[in-house]
Amino acid sequence: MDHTAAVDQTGASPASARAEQAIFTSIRSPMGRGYRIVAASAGILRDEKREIVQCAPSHGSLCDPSPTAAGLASFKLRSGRHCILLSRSAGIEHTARGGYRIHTHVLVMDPLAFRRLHCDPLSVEAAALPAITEDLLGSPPTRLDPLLLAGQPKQPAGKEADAVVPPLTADVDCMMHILSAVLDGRSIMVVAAPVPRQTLRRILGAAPMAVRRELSLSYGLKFSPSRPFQLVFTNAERSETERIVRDHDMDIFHWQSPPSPAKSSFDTWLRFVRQRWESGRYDYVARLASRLTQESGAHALAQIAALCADIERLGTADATALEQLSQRHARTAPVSKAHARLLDEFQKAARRRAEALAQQESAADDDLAVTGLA
Amino acid sequence: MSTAAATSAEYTSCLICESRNSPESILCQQCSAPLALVHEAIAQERDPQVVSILGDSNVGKTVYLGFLLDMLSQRANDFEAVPRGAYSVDLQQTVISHMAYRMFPPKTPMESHEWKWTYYQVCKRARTPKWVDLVMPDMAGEAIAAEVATPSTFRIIQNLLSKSAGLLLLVDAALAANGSAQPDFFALKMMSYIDTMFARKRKKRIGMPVAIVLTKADYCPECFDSPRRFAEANLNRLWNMCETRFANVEFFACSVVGSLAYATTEDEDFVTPVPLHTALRGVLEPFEWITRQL
Repeated sequence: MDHTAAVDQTGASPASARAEQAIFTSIRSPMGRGYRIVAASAGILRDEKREIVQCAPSHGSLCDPSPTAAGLASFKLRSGRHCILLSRSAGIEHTARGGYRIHTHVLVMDPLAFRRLHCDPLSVEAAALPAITEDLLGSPPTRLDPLLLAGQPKQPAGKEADAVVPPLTADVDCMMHILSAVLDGRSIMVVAAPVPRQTLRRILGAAPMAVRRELSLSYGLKFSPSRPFQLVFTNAERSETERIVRDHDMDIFHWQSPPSPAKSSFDTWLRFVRQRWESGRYDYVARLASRLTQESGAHALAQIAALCADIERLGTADATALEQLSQRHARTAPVSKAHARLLDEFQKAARRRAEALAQQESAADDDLAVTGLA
Repeated sequence: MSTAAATSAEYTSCLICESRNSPESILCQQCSAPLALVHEAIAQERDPQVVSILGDSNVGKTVYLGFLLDMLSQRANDFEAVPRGAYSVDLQQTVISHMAYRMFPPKTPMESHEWKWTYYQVCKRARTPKWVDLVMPDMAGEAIAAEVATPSTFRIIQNLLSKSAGLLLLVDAALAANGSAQPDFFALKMMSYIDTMFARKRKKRIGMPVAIVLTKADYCPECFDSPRRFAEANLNRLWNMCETRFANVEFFACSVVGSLAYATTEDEDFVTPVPLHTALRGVLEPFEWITRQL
């Protein structure tokens, strides 16, 4: 996701975002043993710690059983702040009863700080990774200070790069289905996605900021009723997924056997996103989605999509098309700040196109005059 | 707790938290307790009694409960025990299978839907045997510790304790004998939590039977000679708390492992404990005492 384009509404610099931090893991210490919060900065409230303990993954909770397993969860706390859990395997657990110790680095951010990182937990992860050193994994300290996260993080090393190569058509179909569920506010569990982190990055990039702000999600963690998130990327046996469907109000999406595409009230937005993805314009979609801080309904997104498509058409419109497009939006009243800015962009683009067409006409007339003289 | 109103065509009421669930649900949506417990209780036409096994992380709850159930299944000491539902056998199978391969069973996760629940019908052979239905969940020590530290973190534990007819509190005797104060402090916090939960009047002591089981007593054999004296000497805070606030407490020593080895390699920076063989001692006595109190 391009981090340069989105600007905070207050005009504040996206230079840095402050986060309280904590570590949830299993170590033996004079004060206790087993999975618990072993260190925390002073700004995490007692009720927030309770929620963190309820949600954080404990022994055997990562989908990948290997020593390089990793997972992430992002959800809103009851206090209104946002919590991101960054989990990874960290060596053998101290009782050596099989399996790896899970080290979870917890970040708690107030809404403004989360917005500085585009309400994107993957951006928060990228910004926080330099602070999670091998020393911290091996011997967590007893106290922590708040973290200052850079507003323009580098891509984390070892993670899948944001591929320039467009995904397969079937994968795009899957992503559209998942994105539709997210926009609709439905809870969905995605099972056996081949590259869950990259898929999540694409879906977050196409979800408006207004949706991302409230979205709870996880990847790489086993499903648990104590983590009732809206969007879950996990692996699960079919019997378990059947139980989850029965016990919890969740759609299950098996990547290898997806359901047939269904109509969605967000079809206009989905079509718009799909067309841009197919031409490799992921950053454009991400930048646009980051600007949509108030739009989350189907109608509003359809309006935005239509307006953006018309702005693009202006680039090659002839005089007739330019007139039609201008008429279409002449009396449109903006419904949000982002809509107002896009309308303004449309008007400017229309004027530039009109000037360009006028210059072309003038140049053509001059050519005719010269030819006539000759 | 009455199971009469536990279910209808429209919902099933959880045995532990009494929240309503759809009749097709397998686990309670609120607390993740298996709803099969309710169906079994209805089939028995009598309310089961919950015996909760509490203790810090790595004290030996899973191993203790697994061996206890296996002994009951094998009719040790004139007990007869019938599992209600195949899920009730999972725990003892896990423990026995792992120990047979000289491995301790895996750590119990904090997520309550991963806990193993057991529902057994138990009776001691007598002229007029009295059958008792017992529900005994294997909880994660860290979840118990988190609930004690910040009540309502894991409401299922609160609900379980409030419905318990008896408690088995496991305490690491080996650590205590080595001079660590951790077992004593954990046990004190646990008893204080129970006191807060059950105390009606300040001057009245709590009558619920609590068996304090001193585990890993093979490290400190003197524990078997007099568990009470051992507790008074090495777990003095717990001892004082029991004496002041609890009317029905008994101390027991228990051991499961006959001999323990430690394995490691040059590349590893950790040591794996290897139970070479089991030698059960004092496993049944705490349970027998609790059932006599019910």
